[in-house]
Amino acid sequence: MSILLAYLIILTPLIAYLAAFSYETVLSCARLSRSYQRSHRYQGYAHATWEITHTLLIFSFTGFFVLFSPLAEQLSERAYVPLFLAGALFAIRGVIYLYMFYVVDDKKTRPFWDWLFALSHVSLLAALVWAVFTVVKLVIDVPTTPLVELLPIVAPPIVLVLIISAIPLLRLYFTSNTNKS
Amino acid sequence: MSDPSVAGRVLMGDSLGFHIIFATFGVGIPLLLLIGEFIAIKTNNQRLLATVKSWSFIAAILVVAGVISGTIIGMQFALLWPNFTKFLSPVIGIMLVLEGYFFLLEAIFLAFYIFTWDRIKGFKHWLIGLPIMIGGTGSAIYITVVNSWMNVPRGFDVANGKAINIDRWAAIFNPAMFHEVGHSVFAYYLAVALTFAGVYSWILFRKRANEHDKKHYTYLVQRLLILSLGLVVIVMVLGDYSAKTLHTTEPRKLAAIELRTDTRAQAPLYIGGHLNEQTGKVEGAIEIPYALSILAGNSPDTVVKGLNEFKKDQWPPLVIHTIFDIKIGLAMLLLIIPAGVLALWWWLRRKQRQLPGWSLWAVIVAGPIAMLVIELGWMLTELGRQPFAIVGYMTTKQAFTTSHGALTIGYIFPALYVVLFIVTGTALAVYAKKRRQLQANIAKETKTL
Repeated sequence: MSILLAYLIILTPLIAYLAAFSYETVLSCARLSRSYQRSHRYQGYAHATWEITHTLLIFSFTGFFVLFSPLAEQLSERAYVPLFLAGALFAIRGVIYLYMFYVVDDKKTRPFWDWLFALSHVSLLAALVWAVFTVVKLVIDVPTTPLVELLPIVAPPIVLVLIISAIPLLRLYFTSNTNKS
Repeated sequence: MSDPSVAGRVLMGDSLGFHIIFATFGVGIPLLLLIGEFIAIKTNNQRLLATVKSWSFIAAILVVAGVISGTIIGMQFALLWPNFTKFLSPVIGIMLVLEGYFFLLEAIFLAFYIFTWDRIKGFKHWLIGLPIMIGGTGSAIYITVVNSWMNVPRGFDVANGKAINIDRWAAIFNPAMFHEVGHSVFAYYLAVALTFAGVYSWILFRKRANEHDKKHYTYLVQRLLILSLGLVVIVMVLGDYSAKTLHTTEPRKLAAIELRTDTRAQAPLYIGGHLNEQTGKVEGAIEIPYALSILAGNSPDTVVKGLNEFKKDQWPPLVIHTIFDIKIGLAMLLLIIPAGVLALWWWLRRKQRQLPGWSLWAVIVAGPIAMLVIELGWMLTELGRQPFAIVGYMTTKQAFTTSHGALTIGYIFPALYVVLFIVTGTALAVYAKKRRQLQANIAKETKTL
């Protein structure tokens, strides 16, 4: 039961993040379509507040490397390429996002940047999936017991954070998410 | 570099050096949001409310950048220092997970705070800002607790290279915890308050604002300087407490910082200078008699441990003496600038005269100086712990990965950080320009300060 809970703590935010990022990827690719550009949604991308979903990735990753710390050496030897690649692409995507939506005027058509933006999303999603598969394979190959003794401290705050966050989250995502602030 | 762990430290240091800037704003801006919105609501100051609103958008841009740099730091931490992660996690890794909770809380409520500016008014909206502050400061506290434990590890025994008999409360409330957490968190608040004061001083200095704007920006600079003055006093008191705690819990670090070669009472304080390792004497320094003993224990008779008590291969790099001197010199400026400019303002006001340009420049540079002091403070902490990652238990070399491929790939990150830093800075500048225009329009309508 405890081991299952450890996996849940890591996998739930990870799956939620992958879903949220897939949505961003779809939007970034949709920006390339002419019909999408012609519509009023050309400026459209996820609302700026959607960026908070990236904290789910940090949460999941931190949870993994603390709860599965006995695997740290193997992780460093076998998973560094996909993980660092994902990290680099994450930074590149973030830089392009900041540039497109906060530096230049986002009303203008910029095919080069739109393509680059979409490419950064697709490649980051691919790198994340690669990293997840590598780590899952590592967990299967090197059977290890997570540090379940940490769960009595790690698990209860999740309930608290979920309760505290539920109202603003519901309010946020039931509202239009087509324009940045 | 012949030692890969040194290259790893350089890489990690570069990354942390950038991340700490974003993190500082993540901790400090929520405090300004709370104070600013509270005053605006209490005084029904619509102009100030609009300004606070603009700060929340600045926070959002910085959170985007902070999330990127934070994610990379997390990856580097796990992949470059696996032995350290393995040893640390059962004892105090819990703090890293809890830090994630607080960051999540901060991010969610910042989004909600921004989203509800036009939907929820008054103190109800102010209350939404409270979890941002708790989240930002909480995550800084948790991560700093981990660092304090690395400096003064407590709450475990070691058998066969593994931590056993773990007492997490003892690990969390280690003797270095209070001074490190307090000193750093208030320093973040101070740096952000001074940076914001500097930005508005820059606008005043350029003289592009109309009379009404000028009045508003002057009001902001004054209040931010008053806040900074209060914060700098707290930081300095906590700094003094740090010195006293170092004396009892990290004497090796204190000896290296103060170039104290031998154990003695009535120890002098050296400003500047360097240690001549042949003669064992400090050369080229200004010597203040008894000052180190008084600093360490409030009495000239306090015995301060010297480097002679420790094996030479366990001495931290003595460059930390110079880093400390520069840090203290710059920190003194952070007291002098707000105090001096506020006093000048008060004096000139009686004579109905404006502040001279040079005094505005002093405020403009105070923010970057405060950031530099934070960077130097962290360098001091990290270099002062060397050659250990966990003092007394694990050296930095032992903590480092054996996978050198990870290190090679890792070199891409400093370059990415530079790009991220430039783009974020530009984004903030563009946003500030747009916002000023918008605020000028609001000012025309409201005519309130």
